[in-house]
Amino acid sequence: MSEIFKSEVTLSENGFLFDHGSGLTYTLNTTGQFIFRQLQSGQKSKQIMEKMLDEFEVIEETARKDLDDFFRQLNELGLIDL
Amino acid sequence: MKQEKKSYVKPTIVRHSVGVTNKYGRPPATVPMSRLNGFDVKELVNEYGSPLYVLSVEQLRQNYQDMFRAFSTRYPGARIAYSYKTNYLKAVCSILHSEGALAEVVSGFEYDIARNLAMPGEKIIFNGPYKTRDELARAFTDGAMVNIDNYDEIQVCEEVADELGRKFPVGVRVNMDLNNPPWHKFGFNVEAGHAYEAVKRIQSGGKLDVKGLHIHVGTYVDDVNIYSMAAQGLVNFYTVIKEQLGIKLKYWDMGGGYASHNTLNWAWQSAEYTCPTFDQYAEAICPILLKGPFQAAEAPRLFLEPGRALVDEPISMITTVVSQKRLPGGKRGVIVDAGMNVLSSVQWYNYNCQTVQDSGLTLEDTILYGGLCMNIDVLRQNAVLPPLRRGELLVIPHIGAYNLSQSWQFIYLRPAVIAIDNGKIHLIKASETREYVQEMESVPKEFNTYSIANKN
Amino acid sequence: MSLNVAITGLHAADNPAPGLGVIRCLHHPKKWDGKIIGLAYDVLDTGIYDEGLLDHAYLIPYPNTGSKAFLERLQYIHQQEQIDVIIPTLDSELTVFQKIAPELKSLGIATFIPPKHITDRISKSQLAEFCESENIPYPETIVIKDPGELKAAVKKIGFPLMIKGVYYEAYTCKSMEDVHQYFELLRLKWGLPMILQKKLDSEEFDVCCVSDKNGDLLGAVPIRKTRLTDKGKAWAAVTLKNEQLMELSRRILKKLKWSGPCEVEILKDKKTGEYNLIEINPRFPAWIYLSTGADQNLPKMVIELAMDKTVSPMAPAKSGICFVRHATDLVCPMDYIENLTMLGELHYKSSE
Repeated sequence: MSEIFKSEVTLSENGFLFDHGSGLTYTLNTTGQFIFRQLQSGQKSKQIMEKMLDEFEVIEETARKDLDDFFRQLNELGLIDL
Repeated sequence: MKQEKKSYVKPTIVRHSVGVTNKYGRPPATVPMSRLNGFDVKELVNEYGSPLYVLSVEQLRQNYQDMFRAFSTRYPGARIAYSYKTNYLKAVCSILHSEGALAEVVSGFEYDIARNLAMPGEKIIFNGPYKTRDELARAFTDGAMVNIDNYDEIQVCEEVADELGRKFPVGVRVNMDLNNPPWHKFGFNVEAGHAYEAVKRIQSGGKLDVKGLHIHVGTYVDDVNIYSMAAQGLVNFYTVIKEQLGIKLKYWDMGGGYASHNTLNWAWQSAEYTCPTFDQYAEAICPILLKGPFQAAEAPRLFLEPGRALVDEPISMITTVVSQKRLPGGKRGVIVDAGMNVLSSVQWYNYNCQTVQDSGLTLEDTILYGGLCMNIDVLRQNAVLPPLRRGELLVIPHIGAYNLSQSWQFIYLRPAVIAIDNGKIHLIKASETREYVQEMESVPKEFNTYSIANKN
Repeated sequence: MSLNVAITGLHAADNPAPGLGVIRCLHHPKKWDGKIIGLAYDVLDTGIYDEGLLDHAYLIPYPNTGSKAFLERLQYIHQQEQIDVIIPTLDSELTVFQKIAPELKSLGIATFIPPKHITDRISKSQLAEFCESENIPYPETIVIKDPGELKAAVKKIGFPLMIKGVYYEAYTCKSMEDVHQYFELLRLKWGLPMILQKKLDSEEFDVCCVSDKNGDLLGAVPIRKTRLTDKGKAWAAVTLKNEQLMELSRRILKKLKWSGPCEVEILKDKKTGEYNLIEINPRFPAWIYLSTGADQNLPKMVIELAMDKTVSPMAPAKSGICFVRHATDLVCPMDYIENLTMLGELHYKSSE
């Protein structure tokens, strides 16, 4: 699976996301921001999973489910191509 | 040295749109309500299951006392008769009776509940459009207050009086053109002259004696002026029947309909600003009634028949998230394990939904579905909620009126009800079992062909 | 003395809110001494981005969120900015401000709004009763509480008539078909009661008024709207010298014991020449900036009243002053939107 942004995006320090292609804006919570920054630095979902487990107090099963869910949402919002 | 890990919340992304970009404009649903009446919400569910109704006994007593004080300080001797139909759990009725409430019943079934709770007949008000002959005979014999609804009922009451060989006092239910839609279904209309005719008819029959007047102006009536108009209407009507028919009332009954602190679906202002206090209701009613055609010593006793205003607030529901999904339009849907069968007032109210866990600050417009396999089972078209995972809990407060007495059993078993009193939990209704639900059923032998067919 | 003033109603779109006009009055003739704090309901409330008008902008919860959340947010803003006076400018906020006025007062925040029992008297369903009891002329009005009353009421009033929802919206009806159509529409939207009112062949006037706690009129700007939008909002107007309008407004406010700002809507019947009260809006109108041209800075007067100062009545408004409304585009960087979205506040550097 490769995650590619459809257009240029700016994620500010406090979680405000601006999509330069569509002009839409979003709010990401802390975990959402963490994953998003990993995506921006070119990480794949497997690596992101590992980093999540390193960074947060979370078990693998929950992290995997939530990550899938999050990717699906990004895809539906037209931000990435799954 | 390895750093300590950060606490985890489910990752979310929420698209901004005009009108939902104000995080200060959202209900404070994100402040987790982990405890209810002093108990950990999760532990209550672990112990008694989900969904679960939770009654605060203290709040119920408080509501009764507040209302009683508001009316009895303005109208000496005013009494409160609890409207059974809003919630006739035996425990709820018992608590209110222990506070001094009479019983207001509208069917033989409810009458029976009251008598079973050892309420004497004279502490029961028997209302409603349909009372059977046997029920009326029992009520008269017990000395209950019977308010007559229609001409057919006058006839039956007279026959009962004949059979019992005594003359019985009765009340007459009247209605007036006060609000919309008008409550013309019940009783005799004053403006059209029907009420006067009915009183005259009863007196001329010589078998019954009109001793009471009863009115009930509607349901969830948050305009106190309507009560003032009704009170004035009763005073005027009493003046007429006193002068022309020589009626001397023992009681008048202002009925119920008092609002609670839930916001109606179509209301443009929150109930916080529109729901009158008991003092405001009492102030709208009592001074007008006290100007009636009598000396202070002969003042008719005043009855009030609240239901919703007493029991809505003290009962909450705990429900569990079973799924969260994305709808085609991008909106989030959340399904919980309580359906509209155990929360039927969702048709009228925008109930609050309060999170129990700390689910983060990102809020999203959400359609909240009940757990029934029916498309119409929607609890809130638009609730603003944080991310929720399967298994997380929500508390829906102030749901005590009608949701239990009007609940229906459908595909799931109905939940338990617990009462919390002084730090103690009492199970006041166990959750249903399959055996209980099917107890009254039977399958005739002839129908039981499944096993035979299988053998062939 | 420099005072920090917070103002609501910052969204000036096709139905402009009055807050911006109020702020411009405070900056007239020279920039307001204290801080101007804008209280907005949405990140895209337009007035936030009119740089130079505001020093700070904060998002606040909708009143229906509950008075507790509303008050808590104002307390937070008060801690940051030390508010001296709040001027609410929207109808929908009045109830919450009436409710929390005592708490605001104990925080040291002043308001100058009429109490609830007074504003209740001018609600759409009560106004006819008020006029009746106080002998104020108004077009024949029947409040419909039951659909069954409709036919008789229409017959009594005759065509053309206005049919009004209990809170918002009004339509002109020229036939029974119109009545049925709009009655259904309004019933579904706002329910009953509904107001039927004779539609006079008339000229419309507005008077923006401020009266003190005794209901004595201290300042008033009468206008005639000279251009309307299709929603009936003033897009151009001229100030008047008209003693009858003044006299009627004075009488109405005294009878009500109105305290605070309001906009009185008056119709002059072309046939009889009589002035009729139509409606009272319990707030400044959106065109309030015109008052500065008429030498009647009414928002500044309200601040004086809120601060418990003695205020003497102003000289009559200067007539023949015009305004035309002019929509313009404001440009801002994405940072502004981000700050309001993420933090709920925006602080302009120039004010530091």
